Amino acid sequence: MWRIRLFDTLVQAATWAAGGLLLLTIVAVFYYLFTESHYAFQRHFPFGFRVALQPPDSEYRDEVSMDPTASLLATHREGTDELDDAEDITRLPAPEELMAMQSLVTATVQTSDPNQLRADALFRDCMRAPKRAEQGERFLLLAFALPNYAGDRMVLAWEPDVSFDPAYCPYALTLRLIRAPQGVQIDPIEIDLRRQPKGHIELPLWKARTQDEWLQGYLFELEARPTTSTTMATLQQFLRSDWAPTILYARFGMLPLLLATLLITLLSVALATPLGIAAAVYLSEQASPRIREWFKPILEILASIPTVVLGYFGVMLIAPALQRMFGEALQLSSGRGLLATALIMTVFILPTVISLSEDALRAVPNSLREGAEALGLTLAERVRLVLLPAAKSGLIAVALLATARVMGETMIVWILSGGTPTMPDFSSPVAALGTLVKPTRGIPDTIAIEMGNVEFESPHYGHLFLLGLVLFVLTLGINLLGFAYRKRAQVSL
Amino acid sequence: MMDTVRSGMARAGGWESLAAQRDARRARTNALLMGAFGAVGLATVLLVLALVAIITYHGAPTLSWEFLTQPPREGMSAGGVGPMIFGSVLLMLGAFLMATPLGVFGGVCLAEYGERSRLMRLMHASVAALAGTPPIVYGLFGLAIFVLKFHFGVSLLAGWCTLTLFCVPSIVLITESALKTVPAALTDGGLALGLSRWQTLWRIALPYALPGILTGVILSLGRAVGEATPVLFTASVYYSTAETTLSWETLRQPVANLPYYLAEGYRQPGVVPERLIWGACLTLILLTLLLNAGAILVRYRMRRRYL
Amino acid sequence: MMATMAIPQQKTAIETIDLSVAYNGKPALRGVSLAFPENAVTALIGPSGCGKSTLLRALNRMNDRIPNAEMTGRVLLKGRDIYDRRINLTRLRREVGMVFQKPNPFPMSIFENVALGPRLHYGLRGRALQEVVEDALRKAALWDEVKDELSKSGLALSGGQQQRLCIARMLAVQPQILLMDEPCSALDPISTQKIEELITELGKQYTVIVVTHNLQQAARISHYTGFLMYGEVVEWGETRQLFERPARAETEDYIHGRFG
Repeated sequence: MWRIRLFDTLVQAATWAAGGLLLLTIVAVFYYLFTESHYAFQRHFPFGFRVALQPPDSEYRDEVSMDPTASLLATHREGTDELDDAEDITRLPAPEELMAMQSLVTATVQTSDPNQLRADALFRDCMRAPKRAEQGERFLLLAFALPNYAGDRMVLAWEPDVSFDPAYCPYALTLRLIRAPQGVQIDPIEIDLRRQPKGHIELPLWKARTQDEWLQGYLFELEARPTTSTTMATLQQFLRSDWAPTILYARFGMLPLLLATLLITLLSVALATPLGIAAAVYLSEQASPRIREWFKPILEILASIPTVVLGYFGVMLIAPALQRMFGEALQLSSGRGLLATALIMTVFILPTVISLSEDALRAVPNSLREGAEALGLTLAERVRLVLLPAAKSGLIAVALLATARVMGETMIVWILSGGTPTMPDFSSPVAALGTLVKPTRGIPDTIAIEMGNVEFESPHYGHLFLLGLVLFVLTLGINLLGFAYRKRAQVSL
Repeated sequence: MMDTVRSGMARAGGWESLAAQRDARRARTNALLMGAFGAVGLATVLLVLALVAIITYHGAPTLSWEFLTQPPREGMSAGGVGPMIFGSVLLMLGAFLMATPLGVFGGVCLAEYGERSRLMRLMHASVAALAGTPPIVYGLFGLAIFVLKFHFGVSLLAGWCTLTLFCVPSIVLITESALKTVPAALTDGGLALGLSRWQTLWRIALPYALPGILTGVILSLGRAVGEATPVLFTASVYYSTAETTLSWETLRQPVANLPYYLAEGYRQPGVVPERLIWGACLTLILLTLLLNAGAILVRYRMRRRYL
Repeated sequence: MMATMAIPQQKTAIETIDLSVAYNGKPALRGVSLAFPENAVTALIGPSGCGKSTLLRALNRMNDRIPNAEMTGRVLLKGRDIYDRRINLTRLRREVGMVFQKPNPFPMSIFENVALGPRLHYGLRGRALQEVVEDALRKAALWDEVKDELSKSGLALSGGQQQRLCIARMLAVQPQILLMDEPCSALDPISTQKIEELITELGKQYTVIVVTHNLQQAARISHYTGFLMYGEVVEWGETRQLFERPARAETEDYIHGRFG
């Protein structure tokens, strides 16, 4: 008797333990996905501008010269490798060299206090002293002409650094004249660099005859003032349309990834659901029991073909076919892209859809089938008018389940998407076709590819978790909706 | 008076002549639609057969004892996939041992206490949602918890834990629905014999539901073994020429596995020859087929024994 | 071959000739030959498993649904064998309607439930369709209860109403023969009484064949009764005669509840 009681207690304890562990896991999964993405919000927002005085008729009319005297104003993340490389080129030429040039000089001053200018502390740019971005930033720039300069006019030109897009910068960026040389009459200058990222303005010529006079030149100030909190800025940028996390001025706009994932999902579910339901109708209403007995295991096998293998199929068969069709017209380097991915996704999800749809159809009580048949309806009419409406909840649950599965499927997108984040464009038929067949990139494959090379607990790492969170929340919503429909349909799928 | 349509119809040659005009068209529509449905079904079967045939055609010449047991050589361009098979099987076995008890008892918990409290309903919904959560999310979670927080590092151990998490929700749901199919008459019979609730569960309900549970467990393992994503950041290593040995150290080291080998293999074209990739594809499919065959066999034999 | 059991001086609506049905090799009907009289209610009674439902389902080929059913013999409707290869099943079901044990309204509105048949079969629309639906609902004695809520779901009705909805649904297709498979067995006594009254009423215009396990019901509603046992017709005749002066001992035993 005691043995029975002990056994009882053991089974019960195991059940409770498993239930508790399960609950714990669920809580942990939710908790960690949320917390790990906080690293995304510890980011800085680097910015960079090239500013230089140059002759008005210079060949660099539309660009700022790479002249050794031009200044690059930038703030980057702290302690990144780029800084060390940059140090060699930040020095302004020595005063003797400089005096011999027939040139205009734009130099950065290491201090941000106009009263502490020192002639021996002029730099070509300020990358030596990056500061935390959220504190804002203020640079001073000295601009003057050297005695040997032959021209009679000079122009201050500015443009954003290569790959820096001021629109992505959460700062108000202002270039302002704070002091003109003595005796020069000039209107106040204040330029909003976000509105006018590139441009030039003519200044009255002013030559510094000695080294001491350098400090008397035009004194400009570039001010970067945060307009919103880092958290808000991070979120705002997350919703933009540019994903380039590894460049110097990193961009974390997830919109192209999200749209690609949604498009792939939409396309393949729109293909797989009608086909799957059609096949399921055949299976449950027409096929003989013997055929059905063969069909189910075959579906199971198809459903269990690893997605890496399906992806390889796409690479070997579908992508080349697409390239043959559109390659020349659209200059494709391969057929990998949205359409190829969506087609293979359809193959991936179809067996599951068929199998689950069949379960949903079988859950329709037989009495309805008999009633409809006794009424003299043809099979197609019975299916269309009675069976499918009766199985509606179950079938919606199946479609939702398929949606969640496709949305999160990683290997197929990884292999087949082509790997270039692209904003979908449906403005014209040609653009739409291009969107379909040109490389793209979704959320799951971005996580998979980039997590391999990312520095742990960096903002980039945090952003990958943020992407994971987006995917999780999307699939969670869809799954819960599917669960509700499944309960309504009284089917366990 | 209300009979106007009916009597009118009867005078004008009857309902039947009206219906007869439509019958042919309805029959045609029916044949067309149902034919199309059947064609879709047939096409799916052909698709499977074609897939398996193409892989077998390309992969079979590569398959040999050497290929299955030897490590890769000459910078992955020759040799076999022994360590990858070994790693895949190792990952799967560990996940099987950890996920099955957890999943089955979790399912029992849901089935027994099911709809009783708000907490259990919440748990049920959560498990259902987790079962449909993408594997990549599990990968992220495993990375954050097992690899970084618990300091397992990228290792077999972290891979096991992540795969277990990935498998458990579906096993829970399968167990729960299998237990629900147990006829009340059976469990009532057990209780009437004087068995306790848990004895009834253990001796009567679980054995009855066992074929369904086992099939579900095997199928979810089959899915896990072919899925590279959960172990991508938690346990995988691409280039492995290590001897396939087992020791406590293995637990702390990353393992090579077939899906990851394949994924990297053709994302970096030219490194691994196509021949080897097809061979690895076939091997992976054979592995999952083996599991599937196991599931079908289990179902068949158990059904014969119990019914 | 047995001679067909017919009721003298009655026109026959549908008749079976040496009809045998077996499921998976197990016989359910053995050589039944019956002629069902026109415009009358015929009841089929017998112990469970005696084949009465099988016989009923054979009359509009509902047994075709069952995969391993084998059938021999013939069923003649207006002189044509309904198991003939060339027979149009849609037309057969139009002429021979059926109501089942459990009410099975479709998951759609009351109106749609009734309108489905005539719309598909006769292409009726608009006013004509409304008239047919109203007519059918009136005949099924349901009109007064549902005329203000025709757009309500058919599933929202009570069990008895659902069964009458199913009868209306059948009548809307304009059948001549109505098959009813234990139409009251899932209903409460009051609903049962309503359906019984309805059947009696319908018997004036239609050929009604009712399977029932309720002997009193058979006695109340039918003009003719067939008693089946082990897949064979034991006795067949006018209801009053069969219940009061049964010709066979088995019939008497069954009627007096000595078995079954």
